Amino acid sequence: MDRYEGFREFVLARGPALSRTAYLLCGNHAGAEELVQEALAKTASHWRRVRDGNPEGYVRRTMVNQHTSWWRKFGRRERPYADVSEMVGGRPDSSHATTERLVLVTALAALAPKQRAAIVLRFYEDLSETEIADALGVANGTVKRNIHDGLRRMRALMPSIDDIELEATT
Amino acid sequence: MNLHDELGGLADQAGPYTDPDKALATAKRRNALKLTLAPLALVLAAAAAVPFALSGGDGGATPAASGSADTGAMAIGVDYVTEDGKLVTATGPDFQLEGWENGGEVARVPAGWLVTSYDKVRTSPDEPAGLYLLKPDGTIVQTDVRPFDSSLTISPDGTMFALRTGLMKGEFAVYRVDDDGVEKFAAAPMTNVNALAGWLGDELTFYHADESDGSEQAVVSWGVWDPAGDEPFVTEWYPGSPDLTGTLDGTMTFWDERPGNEWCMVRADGDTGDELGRRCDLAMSIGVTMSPDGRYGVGSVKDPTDENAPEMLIFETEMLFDDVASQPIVACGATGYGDTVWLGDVAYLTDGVRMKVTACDVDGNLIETAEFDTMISLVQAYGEV
Repeated sequence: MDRYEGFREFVLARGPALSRTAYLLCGNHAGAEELVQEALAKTASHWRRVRDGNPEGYVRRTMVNQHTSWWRKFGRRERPYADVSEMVGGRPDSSHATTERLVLVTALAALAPKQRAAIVLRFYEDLSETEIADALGVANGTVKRNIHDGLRRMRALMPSIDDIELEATT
Repeated sequence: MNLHDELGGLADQAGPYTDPDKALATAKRRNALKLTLAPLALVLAAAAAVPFALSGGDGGATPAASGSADTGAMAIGVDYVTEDGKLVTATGPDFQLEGWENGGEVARVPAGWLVTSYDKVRTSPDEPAGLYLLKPDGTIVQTDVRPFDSSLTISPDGTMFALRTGLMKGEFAVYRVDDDGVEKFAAAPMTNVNALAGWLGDELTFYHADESDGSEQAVVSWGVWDPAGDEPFVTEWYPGSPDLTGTLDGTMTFWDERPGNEWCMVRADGDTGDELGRRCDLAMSIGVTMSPDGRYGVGSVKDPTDENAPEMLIFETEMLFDDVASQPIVACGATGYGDTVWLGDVAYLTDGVRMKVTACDVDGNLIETAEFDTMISLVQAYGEV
């Protein structure tokens, strides 16, 4: 049996979704592609053991660990903007949606990597706190704290985040 | 603004990764390289007593400068790791950590340092991570602890640890560590268990969160098991312990979160599960970092005025339950989101961004501060080191 049997099919099926998560973790295209590539290469190395379990969870976890490691090594690759108007050239932006998107990018960039991972997995992947804790190998309390602190930090830049979401994790 | 929708919209900008051959080529190239290097690694591992990688290349004679903070003049009382994988020790020589290309974790135990590398240091290409014991004289003792996919849960005295094994297949194993190396002595499937929680003396604690009823609030329970005993794995579960935060003298301290976002710090008897005390009025945010022996803790203030850098608080566990009017005190003005390690009754707090370290004792006395350019993590010590 090919030791990589099923790997190609897995990547073709789940690669786009993993790319989306990676993009939210990194905030830029090059970093996201590098992150997915690195995580999938590691997953391929362990494919015989991983394929019968939860390969997507394994890739996701590898991406989070890898991103944290890169963040620690190389620092921020994104620039957290103190003022969103700085991102739109100081001009009033006619597109509310565009402005909100830029605010979101800025707010995500202001997070520590573990907070960012917890926010992305909770509010984009819709994982429960327990699932996030399992995926990240940390206690539920650590997840709670990262989500809570991350949302609070984001809310300083994005007051428009639904209050209910912040309260739900307090 | 709906955060889920906004994140989804942002994620739509991602370019899809659909090139499995590229990932496969990378994996095969790395595997080939490892197979080439594996015999050499085995020879080195078999040579067990080879002094290893002492910084400065002088065979280990170089003591760590006590003022080894990156900024030069400041001393720091705990070991730490730099971004290029150098272990800077507080009281002895520094070491260049093997297998640190993709980072890892280090813990100090009486026998030396337990080093987990996220990559490399393995003798087979299928092994996802390596664990070795770095002894104080620089000797590396390799282990056969692999594969595993969790951080180590180390006993307060630093003589045992547990970890999750099997690439997320729900098993765990327990090991002893001494001067001779690491020896496995127990293992079990993590049936109905979500996570290793910590140690209660020589016993392991676990918790389980049941979300099967579909509600947002999981039903959580905890259990205790003696890995050296003959009893089956965790036969009794006690209700109401979401997150263990520490153990002390046969008691467990944990957060108990209830509907309505009320949370309390609870103390329970480790043998019976009986609740011994409860504090629901603490001015701390949920989630704290306890000292390995459970005597002390650090957390962030519950309602910070500064959104970006919450003030940190410090407390003595006994005091919170003995004096119900007491509150955690300000931790020497430390702020931030970084990790905390404990050395006795002193907490070393990092801000997580500038890697500023503030050492503060449980009475709120500032011991020292330092800022680092290249430090990536502090090293927690367990037991007498």
